[in-house]
Amino acid sequence: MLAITRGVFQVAIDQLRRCGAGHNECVVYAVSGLTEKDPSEIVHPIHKATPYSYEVDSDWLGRFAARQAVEGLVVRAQIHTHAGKAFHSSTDDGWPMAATPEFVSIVVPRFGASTIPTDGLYVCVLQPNGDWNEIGPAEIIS
Amino acid sequence: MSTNPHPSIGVDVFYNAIPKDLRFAIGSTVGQIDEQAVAAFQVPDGNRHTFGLFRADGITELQPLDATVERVEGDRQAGPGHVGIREDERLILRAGTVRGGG
Repeated sequence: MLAITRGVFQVAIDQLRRCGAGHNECVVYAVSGLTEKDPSEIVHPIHKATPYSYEVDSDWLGRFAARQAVEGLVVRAQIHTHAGKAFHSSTDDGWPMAATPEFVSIVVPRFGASTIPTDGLYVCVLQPNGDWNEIGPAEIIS
Repeated sequence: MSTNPHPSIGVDVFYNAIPKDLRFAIGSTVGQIDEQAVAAFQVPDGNRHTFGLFRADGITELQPLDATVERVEGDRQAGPGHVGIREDERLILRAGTVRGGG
């Protein structure tokens, strides 16, 4: 299992808050090099968003995938906000940034407004059979 | 009777930065090589619907799905109804759409 440091996670939360501005969803990606499992950088994609959804720009997806191949930049986890309670919606299940076993998805409630960084998070891991299994935030964020 | 000395094409497919050497049979459809690539990277069935193979720029998708794979060399382009792939070409497997929300 990968580990996201509180420092890296705080960078993600700060970006989600800035972009969503308390009224729209936002998504960021925790990335690392090919040989390092634990993310060390947060990438903020070009995306559209509403209070209840986000969609990543398709050209950005293509350019980023090309960059990934050249630089060996692996997306280890996606982190996105919901307006209210955190959970994994059917859209979250079916349209993730990466869809290989062990990929991690973290949903942040209330547009990231919580004062305690891990309060109310929903964290799940993609299984080989396509199920997303919930795990505790403390298993990932340390 | 002549025999094709190269019945398949070797390519470098990258998904989420991870490389894999794959061989695609000449005459396969684009839909079939898409399936071969998602299987190689263990993409679960429920997530395969949005995946496709793209050229190294990440933008140009191999399509249409019913076009057949043809080996091309040099400046030669594939014929009508075919998609040309070069030996050792770098291809990218990725989702065409990424979305979420609740």
